Amino acid sequence: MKRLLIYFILFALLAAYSSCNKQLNEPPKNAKVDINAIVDQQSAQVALNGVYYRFANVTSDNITDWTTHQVFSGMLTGVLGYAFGAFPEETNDNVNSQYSSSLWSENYLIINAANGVINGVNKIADNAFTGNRKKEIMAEARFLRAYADFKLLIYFAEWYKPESPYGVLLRDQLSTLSNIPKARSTVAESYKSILDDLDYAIANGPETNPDYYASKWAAMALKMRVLISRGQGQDYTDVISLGNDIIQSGNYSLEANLKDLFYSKGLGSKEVILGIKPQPSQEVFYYILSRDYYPFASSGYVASKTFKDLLQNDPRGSWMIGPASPYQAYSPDTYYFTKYIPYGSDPSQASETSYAFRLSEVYLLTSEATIRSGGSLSTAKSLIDTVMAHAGVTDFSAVDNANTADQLLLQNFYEIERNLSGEDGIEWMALLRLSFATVQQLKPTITKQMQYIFPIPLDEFQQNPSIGDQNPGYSK
Amino acid sequence: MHFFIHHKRSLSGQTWLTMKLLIILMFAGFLQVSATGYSQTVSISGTNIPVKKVFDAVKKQAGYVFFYDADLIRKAKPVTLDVRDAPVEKVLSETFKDQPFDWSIENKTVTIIKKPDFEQPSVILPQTIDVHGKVTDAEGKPLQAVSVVVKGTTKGVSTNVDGNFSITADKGDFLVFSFVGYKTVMQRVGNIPIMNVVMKIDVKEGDQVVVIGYGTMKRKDLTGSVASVNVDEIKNTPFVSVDQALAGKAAGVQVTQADGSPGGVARIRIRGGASLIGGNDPLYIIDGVPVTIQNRYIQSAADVVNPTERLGSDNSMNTTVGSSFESGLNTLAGLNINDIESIDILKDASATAIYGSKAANGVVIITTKRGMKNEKPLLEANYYTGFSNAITEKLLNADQYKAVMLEAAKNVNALRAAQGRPAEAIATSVINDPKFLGTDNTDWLKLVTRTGVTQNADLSVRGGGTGSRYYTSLDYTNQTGTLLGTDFTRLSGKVSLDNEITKRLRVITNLDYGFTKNNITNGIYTQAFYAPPTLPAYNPDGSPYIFVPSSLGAYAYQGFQNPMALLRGINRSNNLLLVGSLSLEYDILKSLKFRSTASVNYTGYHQLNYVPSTAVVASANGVSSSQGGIATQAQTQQTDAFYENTLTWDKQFNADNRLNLLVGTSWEQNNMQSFSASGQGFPDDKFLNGLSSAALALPPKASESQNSLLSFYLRANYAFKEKYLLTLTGRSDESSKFPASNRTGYFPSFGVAWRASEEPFLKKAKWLNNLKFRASAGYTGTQNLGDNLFYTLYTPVSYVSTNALVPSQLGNDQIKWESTLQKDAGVDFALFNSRLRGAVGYYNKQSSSLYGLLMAVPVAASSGFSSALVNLAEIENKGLEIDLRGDLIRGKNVSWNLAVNLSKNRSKVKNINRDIQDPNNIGYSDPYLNSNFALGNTILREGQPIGLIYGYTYKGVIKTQKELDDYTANSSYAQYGILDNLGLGYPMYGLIDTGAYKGQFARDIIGHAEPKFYGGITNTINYKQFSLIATLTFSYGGDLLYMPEVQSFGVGDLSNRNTRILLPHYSAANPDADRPELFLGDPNTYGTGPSTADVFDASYIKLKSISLNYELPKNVLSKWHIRTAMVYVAGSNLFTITKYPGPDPEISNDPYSLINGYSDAATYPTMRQYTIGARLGF
Repeated sequence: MKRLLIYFILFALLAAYSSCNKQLNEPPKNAKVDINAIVDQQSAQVALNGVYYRFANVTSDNITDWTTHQVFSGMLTGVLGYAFGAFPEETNDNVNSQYSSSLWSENYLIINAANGVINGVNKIADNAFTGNRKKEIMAEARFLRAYADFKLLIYFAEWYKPESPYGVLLRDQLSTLSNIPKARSTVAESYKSILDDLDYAIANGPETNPDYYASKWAAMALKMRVLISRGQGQDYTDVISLGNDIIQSGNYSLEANLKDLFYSKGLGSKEVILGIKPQPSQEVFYYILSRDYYPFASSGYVASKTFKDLLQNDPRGSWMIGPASPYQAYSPDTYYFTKYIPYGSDPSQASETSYAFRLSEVYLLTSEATIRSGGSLSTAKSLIDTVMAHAGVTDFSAVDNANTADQLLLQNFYEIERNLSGEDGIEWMALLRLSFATVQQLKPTITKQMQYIFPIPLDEFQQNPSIGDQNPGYSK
Repeated sequence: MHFFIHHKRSLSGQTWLTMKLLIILMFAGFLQVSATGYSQTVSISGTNIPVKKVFDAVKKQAGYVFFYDADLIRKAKPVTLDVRDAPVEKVLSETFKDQPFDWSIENKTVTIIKKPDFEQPSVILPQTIDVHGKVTDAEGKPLQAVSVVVKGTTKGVSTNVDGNFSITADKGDFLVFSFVGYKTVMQRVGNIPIMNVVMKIDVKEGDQVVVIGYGTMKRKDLTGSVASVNVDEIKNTPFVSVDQALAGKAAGVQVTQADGSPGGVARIRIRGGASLIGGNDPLYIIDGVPVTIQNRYIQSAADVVNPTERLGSDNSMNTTVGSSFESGLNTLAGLNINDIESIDILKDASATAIYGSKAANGVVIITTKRGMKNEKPLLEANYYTGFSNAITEKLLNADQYKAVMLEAAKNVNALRAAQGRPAEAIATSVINDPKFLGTDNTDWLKLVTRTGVTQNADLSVRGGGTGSRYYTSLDYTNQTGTLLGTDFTRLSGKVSLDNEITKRLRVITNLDYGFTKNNITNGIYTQAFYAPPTLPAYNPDGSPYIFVPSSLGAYAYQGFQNPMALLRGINRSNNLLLVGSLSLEYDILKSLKFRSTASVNYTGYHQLNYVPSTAVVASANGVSSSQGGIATQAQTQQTDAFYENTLTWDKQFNADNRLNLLVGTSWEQNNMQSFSASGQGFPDDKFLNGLSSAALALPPKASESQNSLLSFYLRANYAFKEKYLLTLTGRSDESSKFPASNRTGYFPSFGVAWRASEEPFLKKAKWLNNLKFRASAGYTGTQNLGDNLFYTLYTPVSYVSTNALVPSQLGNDQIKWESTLQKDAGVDFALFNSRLRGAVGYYNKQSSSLYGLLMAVPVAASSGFSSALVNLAEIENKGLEIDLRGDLIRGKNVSWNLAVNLSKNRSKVKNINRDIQDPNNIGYSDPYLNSNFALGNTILREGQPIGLIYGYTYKGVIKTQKELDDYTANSSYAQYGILDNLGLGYPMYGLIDTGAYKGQFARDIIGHAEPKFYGGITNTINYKQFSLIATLTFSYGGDLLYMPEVQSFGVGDLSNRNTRILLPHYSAANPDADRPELFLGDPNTYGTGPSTADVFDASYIKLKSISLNYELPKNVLSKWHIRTAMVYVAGSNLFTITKYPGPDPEISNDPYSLINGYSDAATYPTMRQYTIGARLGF
């Protein structure tokens, strides 16, 4: 009897212990963690929206913040500036850049979130998804990863030297403490990884999607940016054919008047291929980007004299450039930058909308590739003129009078600068594609090619010593 | 396996025991039968027989019982006898012939006493009476062989096996009942012949029972460091919760009252802190159920700017309500001090390791009262009432205020004229328009404070029968705070019922409950500091007079507003605490006890916040209107369920070997759910401010968490020869908070002790009553950490108004238990007939010597995360504790006991690579940015102690042209031309002297909050029926940041400030003063913040509590049929001796944090309290 009792107690203890252990091992019921975040189509969709959330750079104040996209490259190119004393970016003082570390971390936030979706979706059976949705989700996530990797390539890797070992630190896994140490890849590997993602996205991406979500067309537009930057072999021809595909797809059309796109239509414009939708009621918050353009909140971002001069005889000058900034003592020759927000008006959903890809860029990249590939200058001119006409320009003489490829390339660049400045770094990439002599002439503070890119933030070397070398010319 | 062997052995043991019992029972039967068969005669013969042998023979042959003092008989001469069948009397008179004894025979009991030095005159009293009765112990068990002697005579008997006695005595005589180990009882013989007596254990220092984890122990058997708080010392003090009452009561226990909020929390640190991100409060075990101290405040949708916190650089500047809840809510407030039976504080690893991963901050075991067996119901009632006054700041009155403003205005305009700048508009108005500042004379402090009233009534009934005992109580406390709109109400009590189902099986139930309600301040006190005394409080129509920061020449973010505008706000919390348990106790053997307990600790918390339409709230860009009022309702439910099983084997093998073995297991599950809902825009501040009236619903918030813990533990106490003691303790904890690979934490400890005073060579020393050396070492842990730290956590967000999920926290799959290695050595002693008792101890606590304390560590940004929690940091605490208690006077009518404790703790932080304030946040990597923007008033720094105050260095006033030139050349602010009023009389601050930020103001450590030593002094004086208990607490050598001083350093705006601005300051007439000149518009802290000028030595000695009690004499009571009665008056915080300039140097603005909390933010004034009360027992 006693023995039986003991056996019973031992058995009960054992049973209790194993049930306790089960409880101890159970993933949290009330929180989403790495092991239970993505389990089916719906959760994959929600996690994918999280990648877009990172893409939109939603901050802890729940506002979308595209300052690095809009302001950073404008300062580097010389079209934008800071109202209260120049930023180091304005003089291409890359070591002291205020933005480069944000740019670094913002893009890796996108990459990590995308990797979470890509890894998670890969583990789910195909039949858990309706129709083609599994591939589409994967395509959108890979597009977003490619977008972020390309940003890192442009700003932190020697993208202009195809043989350079100084490429992107590529990541394809959701980060854990143990997989953080990782080396950077070569430039060639970086291009390959980005193009692999984009080819997948073009092949499997959704044909149509709201313009705040990626489609195969957005992937094609990004691929144009990537290929024109690399500029090797077939790249220009590919850019032209991608451009023609997008233009002829019928999905997009140039906005009749560019001003309407920025001031009223926003993402409703047929020209937008991919943009950022502000969070609800974002415009009433104090610390928002368009309030930093006008009337200046905690920061003040202004248009430079260069930009004002560029738009001197252009109808866009009347609305993109406002009156002189009241802080001339700190930053002389600066003007309100009113591309997003009309002077004297309150921020709105439209003023807070950001744009990643517009059809105008597709036109201008197609024309640039045409010129660079030795194609017909008149084809290129007509593409440029079309874009300018939609911006209200009536005098095309400068473009029409450009008779050499180099002259037309410069005119093409000017139109990119006039049309696409302060959006997604497009004007900066376009500047750097010009010859070094031209770059130096247009932006005299650039004296060395190493100023095309930035040093990898020093913290990275401290926390991830495996990354390898710093970009040439910069110290760790 | 162990269990098995042991069990087999005990089986045979049991058989033997059963046989023994049977034999005894049979024997007893024979005895009864043969009792009458005893002969009345005795035969004995021999030479030099020891007297003791004679007694034995008489006992054996005639069945007589002898009652004597053994020492006395040892002195007896041996006798030579040769008697055969002689009567007992004859044998005894033969034996006692020529001996120095008297003897008597009563009912076969022979009592032998010392012969008196002189013959007492025999007086024949008129009435003799046969007194008989029963003597039992407090548990109702009969006591055998208790000596019952008629006082002043030699007549005496002793009780039999059933505790019964019978004695003849005269009416009016006193019977003295004495028994070794029990308190002597004296009872007067009245008319009634029956006298039943309950004898209580005479608790000596060494025999005092101490509650330890999962059991009790005699103090003499302890190898660890355990401090016991005498509940009698605190029961009549005006404290409503037990944490406050612990102040100054035990060495190594530092208690700081956060502020004067009614029912508010005290910050308690036992031997320093042991975790960065976890809590640092000790673990409380209330009736066996773990209770963790928590800040339950749920972030409400709106908060009010705290202008005082604004003066510092902490993140709490926009959290008036949040920080008021932090210090106003008290997890322990639901427990009534009058229900508490004992408080034991476990300090070293030998004592705490049984609680393993929860014990690194020490353990406070609170045991509440229970019933007594075989006791007639005892009803006890206690009532007290009292009042409290706020000990407030001293502010400028209207005249002083106007004079200061005028002086500052004149100074600034004179300077501007000298600099060739136009006069300052506001200053000109102040100078020219005597009515500009306002014409009223408002005493804002008087308006916001009041005399608080405290009422407390509690009632308890306890008693018990043969198989059960019970205790039940009910308490009602109401305390109105010294600030308008604040109060504390409690309804609490307990029900405990213990039942003995069979001799072996007991069922023990206990439920402690407490409903508390707090109305917490909206920040009216802080606002009253800044409201100009020249402004009216109310408009003629009775509505609050509205003023905004800009009308005082201040920035919006400074958040000044009329305190009366906040008065309609509501900040209420309702808390329900239930601590209940049901235990089964089964005696498998007499020495082997099994106990199974299911218990629950449930908390229901409800919070209501309402910021009225009249108030402005903190917002991203300063302050904004509350847009018709903002209300938040929030609710938290937390259930901690425990299931525990223990086996205790208590075995005395022989006189030299004793073992107490405890093994146990515990399963714990914690669940927490929380939500809040908010609304904005209400039609009315008073009536229609329920959430349903809100014009705009604000986003609701909800959270849930859960964790579980499986533990096994063991403790063995072994005593050899009662001199050498060994304690081995171990616990293993498996928690869901850790990844499977690191889930189990082991927390072993050992303790040894040597009771040197039991050694023969020391036994001779009569002056030495106790001397014990003890040493211990072991590991304990902390686990008051987040639930899912090792997972990579996804947080729900939304984008394009659709749900989204983003990875938000990098999981650390390497995360390990935080552990603390503590080593302890001490000596306990009692000298001079135990008149002087004490303990001296040294400890060394390394947290975490094994894995490091968890803190946020930066990770490569390329991971998509910025930080991860990693086991890295270390905190070392070393200290010395001295506890002395002396009976200065031990008279019959007068006694005076003095208890002094003194502790010093030296902490040191190791392995943090950067200065931090928030261990969950890594801050900036740029040291300058980190120091200026990420760090607040207090930081942790590698190699430094805890409690560092951080800020600027005030270098004094510029008094010479050279100083002015040097400062202008070095300070970037001066070079920028920002310092408008720079000149003689302007303040200088320390500057960064190298690098990119050369010339900027430098921040560094400006104060050390850790006191050099602290402690308490308790005087207990008894005089006849009076007793006086006074507790003084002191702290020496710690600094405190006095935030209001920052405002009183200059006249930055037209807000009011305290009278310290009147201190001698620089002016043409007073060029030697060390405080800067006053310029209107210049705070004299431009570009800086709190500085060395605001850090003060917070050493103090204060009369923390005092109570004077009068116990009504017994003869009065018996007339009134009352068992006990006592009236008392008490007070708290009656005086403080300190050089600290603020009203109270004992204050903390963040009682939960280890790093923060060393600022005096003056959010709620300390109160001085007086109470008067009475206790009755029926």
